[in-house]
Amino acid sequence: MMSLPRIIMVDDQYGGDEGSKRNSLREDLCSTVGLNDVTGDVAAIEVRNPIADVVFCRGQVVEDGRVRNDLDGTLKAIRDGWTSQPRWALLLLDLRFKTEEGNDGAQASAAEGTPEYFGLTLLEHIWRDPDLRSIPVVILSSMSRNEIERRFADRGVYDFVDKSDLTRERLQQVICDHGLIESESMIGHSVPFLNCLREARQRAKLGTDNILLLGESGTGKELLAKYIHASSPRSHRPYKTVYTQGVPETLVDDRLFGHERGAYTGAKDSVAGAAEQAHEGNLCVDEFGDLPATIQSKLLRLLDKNIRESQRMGATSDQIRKLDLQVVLATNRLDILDAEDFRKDLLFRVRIADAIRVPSLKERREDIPLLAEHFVRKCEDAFKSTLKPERRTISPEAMRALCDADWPGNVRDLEHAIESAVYRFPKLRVLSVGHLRLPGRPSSNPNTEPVAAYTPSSAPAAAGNLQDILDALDHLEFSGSAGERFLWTGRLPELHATLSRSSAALLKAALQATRKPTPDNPDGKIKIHPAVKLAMGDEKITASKAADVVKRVISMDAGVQEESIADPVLGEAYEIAVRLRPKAARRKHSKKRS
Amino acid sequence: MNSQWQAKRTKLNHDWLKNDFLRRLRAFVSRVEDGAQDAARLEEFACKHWPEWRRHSHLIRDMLIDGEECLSPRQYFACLPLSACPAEVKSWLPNLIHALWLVRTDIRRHNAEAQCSLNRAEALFDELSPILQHASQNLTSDLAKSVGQLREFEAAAKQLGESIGRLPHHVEVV
Repeated sequence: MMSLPRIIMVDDQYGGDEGSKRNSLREDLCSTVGLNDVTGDVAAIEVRNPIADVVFCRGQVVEDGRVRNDLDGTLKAIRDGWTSQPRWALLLLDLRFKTEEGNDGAQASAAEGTPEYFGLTLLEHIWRDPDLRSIPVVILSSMSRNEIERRFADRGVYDFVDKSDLTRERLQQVICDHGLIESESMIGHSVPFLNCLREARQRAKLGTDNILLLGESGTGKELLAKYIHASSPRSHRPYKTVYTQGVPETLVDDRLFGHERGAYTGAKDSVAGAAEQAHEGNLCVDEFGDLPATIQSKLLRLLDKNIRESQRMGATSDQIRKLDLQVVLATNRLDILDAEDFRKDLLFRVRIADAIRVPSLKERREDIPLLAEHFVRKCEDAFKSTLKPERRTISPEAMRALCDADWPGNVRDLEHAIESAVYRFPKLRVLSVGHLRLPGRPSSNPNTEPVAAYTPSSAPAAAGNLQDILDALDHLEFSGSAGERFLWTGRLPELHATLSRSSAALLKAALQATRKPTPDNPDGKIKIHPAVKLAMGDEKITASKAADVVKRVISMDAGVQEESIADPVLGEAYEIAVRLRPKAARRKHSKKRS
Repeated sequence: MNSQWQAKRTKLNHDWLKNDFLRRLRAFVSRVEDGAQDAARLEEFACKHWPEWRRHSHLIRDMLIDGEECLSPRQYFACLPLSACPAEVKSWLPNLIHALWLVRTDIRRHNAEAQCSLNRAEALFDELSPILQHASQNLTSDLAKSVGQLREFEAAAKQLGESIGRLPHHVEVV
């Protein structure tokens, strides 16, 4: 369960009365607004459904029976709670502090000059201190806002709340809008990370924006997109994600915008794309930076908030659909504004200057222990049956090593390192440095090679070439010149073998990509069903159909079949497929082998 | 005159009305609405804090009456250097400045709004006081019927605080 946000309220009224066991005004505030008083100086009342934990700070001391404002003590209290966990989510700051001489600021005659308020003095010190400057400050005062606003406006204050208007709902809104609050779905408590979450919430609030997420690979952009959806007024409406990296252009178009019946060979029915499916909700376009040029121009009309139109493949102009949605676009191309292959007008439409920057793991090292613990627990929960039931811990040295490592692949890399350590050493209760495969560090167990990583970098080019070949074949006619006829004559067996080999290679890549390491098999077990789902792009295909696909692909060409069976990955996949669907294939297989 | 009036406003409006009375009143009404069986706290407000309204409302009324004169730049003709102006000038200039200031600050409208809120709150206070004073031990159920009036009283008192806050904070150059 998430802990409550912890806020500090610096206000002379709510500070503990000297010698008194209770502060009735504070009790009234806590009960009406829903605050859980954790100051600890006086007995706190019990509050039903509190919205935050609060520490009250009077900002004053009593010396020789006289009350005076305590700048150093107050700044120390603010600093202490900011540099330790859980840190302040918000600082609510009063302006006027009552001392023996009366209210500060009140003594100065208006004609004599600008009155000074202790709240403003505190604010000035917080603003000037680089360590404290990131604290979200909200003014909570009974003073007239017009009277004082210009004096705090350029001091990083997020909001002004009139004390008479401080209700539970108002405070909840202030905390949500400006507070640095943790999330259940996204792990982290560092300032850069919490700032990123706050920005995401603020942008999501509108519900009609185009939001660009910029962040290195593995920083959690997709998770942040889901967080935006959950924080938006459209959270109860659909959420759809489109993945574009390494996907052929026509398929991106199809996935994003859908197609009409007959739009291409095999398009038996009209299908809505993700944009249409996300109508009234949120659409996330992952790896937006990799969108082909034709899709970029089509996306322009979807991103124009005044238009929001989507056109399916094969749709006529009168079949264009008007949509109402919020679009989240994610990319790891941090230099996208300078990219020559990207339409500038598209970037203007997503307001690149307002892009939310997702911090890399290097920028939020403070979160590494929290994330590492979370990933250990996640592995334990996922493999309860095979792992030793005791909870694992990470040794202090290992934690230091994790914190110092470079993590070019960011959080995803960290998760893999933890996963790998837990699975490779399932019987251990303490993970030490030697168990970790840190980036740039050789494996601690030379017999266990890491699972071949799926490298999508070559995929777009390959996919593009494949599409070119398919397009060329689609439009091939034998009515061309003699030279052309010569070029194609007798090439069918070769084409057949190439197709068979290419299909087998694609299947192998999918089998590799879907391997999941387990304690028994750190390289990952081969599973044909998810691999075929991935290769076919069909989530609904059954296990037996998947086995048929594997058999068909491998036995398409006799020569390729032999090569495939000799291959450890394809050979194992074939064995599994034959076990699942023994008929015919077994006969064929034994015949071929004999 | 001006600084004394400003100090009086701070004490009555900022310190007492907004920071003390209204906060306690809001908590009291919330407790009544929630049906909280917290007789000690309810009684504490009814006996100790509620009666404070009467004394403070008189002071607020006096302050509003004095407001125009105490805030007007006309007062500076009573002291140097403006007091050194020739009598002939002083016979018309202070009044002209005052008239221009009235237009610019719209003080009479703000004052009238504050008076109106004060009257409304006073009337409700008179109606509610006997109920609060004679409420039996079970304050919650006795007062539950008067929650609407209490909320109205709270709104009028809040409005009063806002209207007082809108009165000028500085002597403005006209």
